[in-house]
Parts: sequence; structure tokens; C-alpha cells
Amino acid sequence: MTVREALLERVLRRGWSEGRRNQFLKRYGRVIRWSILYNISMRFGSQSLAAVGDYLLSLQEGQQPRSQEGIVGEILDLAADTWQDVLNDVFKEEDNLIQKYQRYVAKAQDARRGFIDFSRFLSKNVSYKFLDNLSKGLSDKELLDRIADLKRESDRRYCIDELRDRYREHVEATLRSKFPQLHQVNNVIDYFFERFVPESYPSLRRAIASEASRAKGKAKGNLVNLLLERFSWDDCQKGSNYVRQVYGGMAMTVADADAVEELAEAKALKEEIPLNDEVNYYWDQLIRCLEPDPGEVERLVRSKPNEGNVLCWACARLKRGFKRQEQKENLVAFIVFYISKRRIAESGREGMEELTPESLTLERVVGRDLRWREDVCQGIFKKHIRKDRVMEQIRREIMASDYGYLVVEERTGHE
Amino acid sequence: MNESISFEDFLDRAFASLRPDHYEEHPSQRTLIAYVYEQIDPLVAARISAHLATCKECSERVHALREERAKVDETFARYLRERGMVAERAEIGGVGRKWPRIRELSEKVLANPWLSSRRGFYGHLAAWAAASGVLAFFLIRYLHQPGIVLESSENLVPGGFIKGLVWSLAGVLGFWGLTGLASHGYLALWRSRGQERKRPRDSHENGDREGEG
Repeated sequence: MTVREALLERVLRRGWSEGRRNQFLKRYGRVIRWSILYNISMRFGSQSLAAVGDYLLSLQEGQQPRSQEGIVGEILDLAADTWQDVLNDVFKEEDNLIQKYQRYVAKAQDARRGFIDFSRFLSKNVSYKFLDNLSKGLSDKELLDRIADLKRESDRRYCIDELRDRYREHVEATLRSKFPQLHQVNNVIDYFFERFVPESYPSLRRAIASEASRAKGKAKGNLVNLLLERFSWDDCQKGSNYVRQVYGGMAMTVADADAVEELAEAKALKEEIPLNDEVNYYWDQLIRCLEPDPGEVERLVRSKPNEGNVLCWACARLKRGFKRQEQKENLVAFIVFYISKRRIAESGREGMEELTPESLTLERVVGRDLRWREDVCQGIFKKHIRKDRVMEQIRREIMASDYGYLVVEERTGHE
Repeated sequence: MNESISFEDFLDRAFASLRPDHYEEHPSQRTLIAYVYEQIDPLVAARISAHLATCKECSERVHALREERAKVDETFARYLRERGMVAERAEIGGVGRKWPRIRELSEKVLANPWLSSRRGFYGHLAAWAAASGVLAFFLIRYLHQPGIVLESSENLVPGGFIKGLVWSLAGVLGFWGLTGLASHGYLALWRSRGQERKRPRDSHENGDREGEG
């Protein structure tokens, strides 16, 4: 079993030390912060980030914050709490996030399915923590509204779990007194929170809201009581065999339900994004830490056997076939060099961020006009690479295939 | 049908798909935000990246989003640092928990401006090296007489030993003082020129200030 990351392996073997903690912050601090900022943007609107930025800037310059102080202050508290909670989960000695990731990888490998890298795993857990903290600050009505309205299953789960945390004992006591003959009470309680509330609340929302406003101030948990009144013996029987599906907080980490949800989202998103040439999608995968399926690229070649598609297919085959990381890097360096030579705009792309092997993407590289030795070898990969050797490997791969006729040493004529 | 061409020409043609293009439809702002904050499935990110590489309009939108991200992230990282938002040390294992005194002491030593500046550090290193050399010289000179085996206690002359020790200590102190004065003077001169001292940043700061990838 491997988690494919030297630092994480060291932490798993030897535990946390001051140095490893600092290395972790250096490597993943940005991942955590970006995930928090992204969640702020998604949950409070894209303008909220600019407001947070302005607020922080004016705070740091010692000026009176200009923006809506109250709301931004609350958002910042939420962000700071999330940061602290995530780090506490990462740095604790027992059952920390690295160990959870190790278990997740082992489980995925046992089941012979793919797994996400640690950065994605961390991002997801930051989102969970953010939602967890967010739902803690909501009123009952806000929680129920979110359970009814939220599109994402993972977001809804947090609200359901928070509602259960608040009212579990109350619901249990009410059900026991209302139905003394009730068995399997835990199953019924789970059914109440996970099925009955999400299904019943939307249709009863208006009626419940007016009843609750009439009964305002009489008892805490009015809305839940009103829902409990509508919970019948039939519902109890339906719930007696119900198996709990929503687990709160970090216990959940990356659940299968999430994976399915994310897959569906990814599929929808992929279809949403237009491309002029499908091959560019595979070029991007080749220069990232991904290995596109050569079979998939070959389908593209069969439908359109041009130079670009054939070269991409040959590179995909080579990248999959190479055993050593060094060989893969050399191939990526070669592709990066050629892609950077394509000019896509009138102006140059000066002032863009520095490239590293981990940050390579098609849109970052294209049009950069990189020099082989100075920029690609010394700048990005920090080593000497023989370009001619990589070219020869690719040429041989193409020559040995059905598409060798596209490449010969000399021109053989035109048609 | 395609013509057969040399490999160099072949490579030139192979990347022709990377050209500016006009698109009727574009990814939503929400999708681009997820892309910029790297909160998206890598395969979807690959598709977005391929679109961005050929769509000037979206490329400009992403550029603006990245600028905003850099600004907010920098201020947010500073805010977290100023609030001391790092996990409680008590919860962390390793040296910090087992040897708190050693950690505190090492932090105090490292907080010394002489050691935290590169020139100060090299000054101290040179002083220690010189002092150790002097100590070794005098110990060998006074304790190890030529032609006499050092291990034999009879060969150790009490007077010579004390003399050697005194000279060694004097040498250590003398070199320490001289190199210290020299590097201190150099630092003062350097500061007076108004140059910013190069002091290694706090490790958390390093982590939190790390630039974009």
C-alpha cells in the first residue's frame, strides 16, 4: 500500500514533528486555503470573495473596513474556524487525516478501483468541515430549508446530520411516548431524519411555517415538533428496517455516494465544455500527472488520422508503457516544449506564474515560447534531458504502427 | 490523403490544433471558479484547460479570477498567521511535545539576529571553525611531545597541560571576539547602506506565503 507521497509516508511511519508539520503547511497550506475561499465563493456568492479581500486588506493596512463589516466578519470567523479544525484533524496523533487517507487508498485498492490524490482528498475534507461549521450556525428553519432546497447530496447530508445532533434525544423521547410498542427505535430515528424530513418538509413547508409562527416562542424546536406530529405509525413501520446512511463530520470523508455524485457532475461538466479539437483534451492530460487511455485516443485517430492525433496517440502509448518516472518526465518535457511554441495571441504571455512539473497544464504552457535548455530542462525539470532521444522513441513508435506512412525521412511525393 | 513528410515537419503540423478559435458557448463562471481554485475533477480540469488554450475570452476571464485569487489568498494567509491559526502545539507529537525545553531553547537561539542573518551565521561558523583549530593546535603542541607516545600518562607534563589549556581558551576567546567584531562591523556597515537584511522567514510564513503553482 502506498499513498504516493514521500512526506505522507514519513508521517505515517514516524508521526508528526515540527519539521514535517512545516513541510506539510508549505506543501498543502495553499490547498486548504483555496478550498476555504472556494467554499466562501460558492456559498455566499462570488462577490463575497472580493468583499473578504477588501476587508482583510483594510484591516491589515490599519484602516476602517469599508465593506459590510458584520457579514464579512462572520464569513472570516467561519473561514478561520475551518482552517483551525482542518489543521487539528491533520496534526492530531491518532486517527488523523493522513491515516484516514491511507485507509481510503487501501480500501480503493482492495476493491480494484481508482482513488483520488491527497490534495483532492484534503480539499473535500476542507469542504466537509466548512459545511459542518456553516450548518452549526444555522437556525432550525434555515437547516430545514437547506435540506429541502440544496441540490448537492453532500451539502444536504451536513444539514441532516446537524439537525439530528440537535434533536436526536428529543425525537427519541417523543417517539417512545407516542408509540410505546415501537421497536428498532434507532432505525426509525434515522429514517425520520434521513427520509421523512427531506421528503415531507417541502410539501408541508408553508403550513408548518404558519403554524410555527402562531406558536412562536412556546417551545424550542417547534418545526421539528410539527414534523413529529405528522409522523405516523405507518412511517414507523417503514423505518424499522432503515439503515443509516448519513454520517457526520470527518467520519464520512470520501464516501461512495460522493464518488457517484462527483462522477455524474464531472460527466455533465465535460459535456458542457466545448472544444474545437478533441485532441487538445488529451494533450492536457499528457502534460498533467495523468495517463490518457491509448485506446480512447486511437478511436480519435481512426476517425481522423492526422499528424496531431497520431502523435498524441503515440505519446499516450509511450507514457503508459514507460516504467520509470524519469522517462515519463522526459516525454512530458518534450511535449511541453513543442506546445509552448504555438502562438495563440498577439501579445506574449509574460508575467505568468512560474511553471513546475506539478503545475503544467495546456493553457499555462501554450504560447510561452519556452527555450529547451534554459526553460524546460533547467527551469521546470531541473535536469538535463536528451530531446533527440525522446524524439527517436516517438518516431519509432509511430513507424512501428499502422500510421508509419505519415512519417518518413524524406518527402516521397504528393497526391 | 496525407503526404509522407520528415519528422520535424510532422511535429510542426501535429500541434496545429492549438490555435485561437471562436466558440459559441463557454464554460459557466461557476465552473471557471472551480477550475481556478483547483476544486474540480482532473479530467474535467483537462477539458477546461484545453478550451482555455484556444479561447481568448475565457482565458482572460480565468486570468482575472487568478489575480483576484492571488490577492485574497495573500491577505487571508496573513490574517491566519496574525491570528496564530496553527494547530495547538500540545496536540502535536514529536520533538515539540517530548522535549519542550530543548525546542524553546533552540527557538531562542535561532531567534538571535546574528544567527538568523546569513552573514551573521557565517561569521559565527568561521569563528567556531577558527577557535576549534586553535584549540586543536595548542592541545597537540603542549600535550603531545615529539617522539613520545600520547597514551602514556608519564608523558603528560602537568605544567604543559595547564599552559596548553590557558592558551587554548585564550585562543578561542580571541578568535571569537575578533570574528564577532568583524562580522558585527560588516553588518553595521551593510545596514547603514540601507539594504534590507536577508533574514530567513518564519517557516509557517514560508508555507503560507507560497506562491501559486
